[in-house]
Amino acid sequence: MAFFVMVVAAAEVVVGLSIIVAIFRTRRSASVDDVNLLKN
Amino acid sequence: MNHVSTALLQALSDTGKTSTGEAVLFWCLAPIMVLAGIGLLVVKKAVHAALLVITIMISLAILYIAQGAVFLGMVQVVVYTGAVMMLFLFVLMLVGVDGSDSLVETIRGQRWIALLAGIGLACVLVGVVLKAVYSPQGFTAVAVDNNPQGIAQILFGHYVFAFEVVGALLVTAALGALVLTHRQRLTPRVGQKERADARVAAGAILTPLPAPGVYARHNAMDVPALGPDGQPLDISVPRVLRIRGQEADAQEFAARIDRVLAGGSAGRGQAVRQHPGELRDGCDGGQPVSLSTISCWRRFLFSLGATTVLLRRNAIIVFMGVELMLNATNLTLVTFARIHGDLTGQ
Repeated sequence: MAFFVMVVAAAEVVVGLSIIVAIFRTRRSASVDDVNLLKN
Repeated sequence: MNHVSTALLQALSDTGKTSTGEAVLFWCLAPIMVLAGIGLLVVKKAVHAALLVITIMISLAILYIAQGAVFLGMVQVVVYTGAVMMLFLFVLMLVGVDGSDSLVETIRGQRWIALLAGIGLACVLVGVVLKAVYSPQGFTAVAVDNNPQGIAQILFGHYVFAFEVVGALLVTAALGALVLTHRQRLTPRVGQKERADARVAAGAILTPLPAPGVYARHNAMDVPALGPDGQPLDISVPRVLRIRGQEADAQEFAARIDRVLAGGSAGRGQAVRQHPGELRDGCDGGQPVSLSTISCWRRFLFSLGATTVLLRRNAIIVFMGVELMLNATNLTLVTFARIHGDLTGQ
């Protein structure tokens, strides 16, 4: 089970970090507070 | 929370299999890990947080190996400290190392709510572990020749479909990362030909630069060469000397040549040597983390990770918190696998 958790964690890190990089490219910030596109 | 951990160790030693050395190892590593986890909550810079998480990962790997999960321990070192945390550091370098966290609360009372939720989660998890029923046989040695072989039998035997699915998940994640970070080129690619064309169009010198001292009366590096018209060529002096201001002055040198031609003795030009500025202080002083209460329970790590996710604003540090939670889960899985004498947990 621990191996599967590890693989899922690795996949999550890869996707999450690439999302962060993509957000940073468009918004020039990696802060969670600045990501408020869904808020009016 | 201490007595919980003691209870677990006691439960293990009731079956007479846990050595005191392992207990000492655990009690050395657990405070380190918990301190590093608390540090993840309080340090300002994301790089320091990454280093703390690496500390936790390595300690976890040691604990895995001590619990007999040799293969998982090595995989932990390779995958987490080698790949995942390096990925974190690379992204930190891309996104900007100096971006420190803002401490302004956007949601009122968010900090206290997060702390409360973290403590509550810790209490719930400790309660669950306290009420857990350990298998009657206690810690048993796994009846396989060695750890990697047993894990291979389980992975490729009983869980082969899950294994394939997980592999597909990894491939999908890699492709997703490629798609997410791909950027369409807005300008034409600048290659060698384009650069050369631009240089010619800008009127730069296409031939090699003249060597210093050519046709002059002196061939030192700081003496400019003389052109066909007898005028000194500044570009013949190496660029470094020009930037440092160590070249011989062209006008002065022309005058010296005249004096030489007139039969006088030319004085050796004195190069101005600039001393580099005073050494800058390179260290930025990491802040040490000290906390009075040390509670050593691995579930505490999980709640620390959860609190990190709730508290921190830097998205990268939030991800480190998620990693912490997953790793605490892994440690629990390994421990219970050992208690039940079953490799499936690994």
